Amino acid sequence: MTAQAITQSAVHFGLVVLSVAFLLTVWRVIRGPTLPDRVIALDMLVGIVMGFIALIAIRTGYTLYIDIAISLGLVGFLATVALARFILSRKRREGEDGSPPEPLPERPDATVEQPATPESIPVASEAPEPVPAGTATPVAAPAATARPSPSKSEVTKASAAKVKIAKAKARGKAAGADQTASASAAAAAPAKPKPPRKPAAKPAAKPAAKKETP
Amino acid sequence: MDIILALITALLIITGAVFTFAAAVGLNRLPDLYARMHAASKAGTVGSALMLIAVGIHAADLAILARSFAGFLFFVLTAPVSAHLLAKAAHESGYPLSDISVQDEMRRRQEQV
Repeated sequence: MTAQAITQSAVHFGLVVLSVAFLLTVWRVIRGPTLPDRVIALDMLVGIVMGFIALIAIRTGYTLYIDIAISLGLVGFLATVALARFILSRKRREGEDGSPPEPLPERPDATVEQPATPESIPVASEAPEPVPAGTATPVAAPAATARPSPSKSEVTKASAAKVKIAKAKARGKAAGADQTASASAAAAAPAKPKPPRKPAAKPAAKPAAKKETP
Repeated sequence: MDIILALITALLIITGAVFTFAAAVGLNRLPDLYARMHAASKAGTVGSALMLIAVGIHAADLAILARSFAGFLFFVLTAPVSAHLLAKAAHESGYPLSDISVQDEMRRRQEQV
């Protein structure tokens, strides 16, 4: 048995085994219940393809294939890191893997409450509209702002502490909102009708400062 | 001499292929993301790294051997980094461990913070 034959038979064996491994990994990519499963399987696919390239390099004798394998490894590494950042920013979807949703080990000030702020801003800008007289604002504003926060924390991941924090946030926001609401209602009376689509915080704060000087 | 080189190459190829196959089986059989990651990022990395070295030894050229070792080192260095990043990202965004896991030290640390 010559050296050539030994190498070639080993390469054939390796190609067959790698093909089976490749198919198994593709099966995990297709099936993998969650996104990180698929990402880790894709990372593994890059490794398997690097093995394929190495075997082809041995088989054909073109050692330039090694450079291709190195650059493929670089691309795979960058892709995995980028996907990891994406997973970090995306958060887990409920029932993504078919399992029942369960409370998550998240910090209470994590990004769950963050989406509540852009939703409560239009609410604050809506508040002055039904009150031209400016009397009912203290009642209306807290009710309006407190409503979206429990629905925003939605789903089961809202622990008691989180709800408390969200309520405290909403209360603070409501206090600010009704102050700005009365201010902007007073400002809207003499001046032109206030544009409803503007972000509430800035335009409302400016008339308030303007109103207090005279 | 040729025979010895060919035998070493064949051994490296077969070992690498078996490692890669073990990684693929582990990727399909293990219960949750973190255990699968443990299979893919260790056995899979060793599998392809051994094949890269096999190319270098088969070529019997120092330049090519050096390049294949560079690829080996690069791959062996980056695979744990990417696996760690991915595991940390998945854990932080709330992907749970499987039911048969006995300990989750990250969760305890996050609760303390």
